[in-house]
Amino acid sequence: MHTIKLKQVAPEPIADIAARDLSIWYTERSFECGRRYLIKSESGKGKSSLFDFLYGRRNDFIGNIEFDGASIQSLRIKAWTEIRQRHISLVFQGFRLFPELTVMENLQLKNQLTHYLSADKLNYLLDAVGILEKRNIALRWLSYGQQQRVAIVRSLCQPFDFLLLDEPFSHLDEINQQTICRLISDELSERGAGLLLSSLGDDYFFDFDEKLAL
Amino acid sequence: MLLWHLLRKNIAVGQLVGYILATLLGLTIVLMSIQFFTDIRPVFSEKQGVFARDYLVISKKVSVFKTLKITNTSFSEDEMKEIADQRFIKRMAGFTTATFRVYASMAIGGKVANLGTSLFFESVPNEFLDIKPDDWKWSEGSNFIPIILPRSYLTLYNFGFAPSQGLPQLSSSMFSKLDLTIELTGNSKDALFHSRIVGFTDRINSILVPQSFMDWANVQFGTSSAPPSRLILEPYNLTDPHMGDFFASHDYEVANDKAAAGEASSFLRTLIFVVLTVGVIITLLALGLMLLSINLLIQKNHEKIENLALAGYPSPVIARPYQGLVIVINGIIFVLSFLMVSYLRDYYIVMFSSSLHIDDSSWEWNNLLWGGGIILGLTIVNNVWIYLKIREIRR
Repeated sequence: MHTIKLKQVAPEPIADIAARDLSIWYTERSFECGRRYLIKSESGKGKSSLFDFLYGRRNDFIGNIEFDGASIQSLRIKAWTEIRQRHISLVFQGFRLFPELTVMENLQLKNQLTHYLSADKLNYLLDAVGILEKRNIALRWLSYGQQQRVAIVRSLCQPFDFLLLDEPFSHLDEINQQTICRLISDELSERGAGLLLSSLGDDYFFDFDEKLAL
Repeated sequence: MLLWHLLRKNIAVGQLVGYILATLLGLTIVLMSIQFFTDIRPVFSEKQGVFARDYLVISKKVSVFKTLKITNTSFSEDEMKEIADQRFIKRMAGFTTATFRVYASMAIGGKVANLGTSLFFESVPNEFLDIKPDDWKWSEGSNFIPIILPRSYLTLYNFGFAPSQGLPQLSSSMFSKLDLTIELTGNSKDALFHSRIVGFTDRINSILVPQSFMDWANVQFGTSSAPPSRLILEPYNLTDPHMGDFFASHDYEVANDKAAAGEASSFLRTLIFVVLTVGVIITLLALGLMLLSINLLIQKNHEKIENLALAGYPSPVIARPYQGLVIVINGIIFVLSFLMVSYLRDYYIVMFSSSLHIDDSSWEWNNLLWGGGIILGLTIVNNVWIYLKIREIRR
């Protein structure tokens, strides 16, 4: 997948109040594979909604969204499964991990589906984000910050053209943020993938190609 | 594995056990009714048993004079002609009685055991028989005599003789496997024959051998040819009042009263149908229980299933652990219910084979197909339901 294009899109629930003069809602907007975008706004402006639309979780929007020129309105469940396995990876604000499984099991659940990362690579990533020693502990015993790091590692357990991060560092300190941003940057460059990162204001430690307000 | 580990949480074991018991009960009743119906199908389809076409066997009344042989109980040529000429008689034949001595002994385990008895043989023309077993033939030179016994003898044996002598109760097909040795004596000759019981009749209360054999043996071993003392008749209409008057006026006795036959037939059919319906209803209720149970389970695991879908898991893959569970459970039910039906069947065959014509030779592949079909149907409904419910969560 190369291009994601928004044509006059706005979320239905906030169709009246969505800002018309900024860079995403009610405009023509494309996201290119390989480029990095920051989407900045206060809460309640539809950042998570945008990600839900792009991930096929919701379709209550007006206007049109196109993946490589094809409207996503007509995509079937099977197509979305394929997209979620190979083309778009999303870190949810609420993580959507499985608390009763261990850290490793949570990652394997994804990796067994895609067979993307080697065991070594998985361990390397866990080590890099500083939770290697927690790998066999059930996720529910981890702090929010640690769970957030598991969610980020899980998002790397698959091939993707775009990585979508929804306020991904809300529970992490600055040192951790820095390490993880570098890790993600490396992965993005290696895979030639694009990044959409939503934030309440922070730029974190990325070199963004475009900064958009919402 | 990981998926099963994740999704098995919230499975209500109690509900599953309830489903297993209810389905087991329902399926067993259904299969049992089908099997029972198949087993006693001869009763419905062949013209015999309690639903036989109407035949009459008549004889003369036995009195003191007859015992003293002042008058005799056999029918003379004139009497037979008079009966055959009656308007209500379609056809008629006399019983041929053996005029030689018959001694039968039973071979058990290849040896001739000490179990033996004197017997008598009679025969009637084949067209008056209610059954036509495959082995029912004899030709000169053959060493094998087929025998047909009255079904009532089976009752006598199973409920009178066997319990009192500590012998096992036998079904009709088991009876037919016994090897008999028959010794004929008379006319200063004797001969040994092999024999087997090839069928049971509800119509004629006598020990029957083929007419061809009887004719031959009476010449070889017989002392004299006696006129028949019993006649078998086929009337046009059993309820013809003239018939009763005629028999009464001639002092003839009528055996085989089959008046209640038709009612018994329809009663039995209705009974099997009612039982079958109850079985089907129980099975359907069990299916309903399972569908509700699946609903509940999937609702309880709603969030997990949604998160799996968001992680890129296809619906069929998410459904697989639950579908596997259903397949295993239904497989267990199928095997158990099949075992139960086989067990119960052994039980009722001995119980009923003396009173009904049961064809227990066909232990039914048919039944296996029915059971398999029903279980397959249940499994498909369950699995489709699981899949639909999981898909519902995705959007």
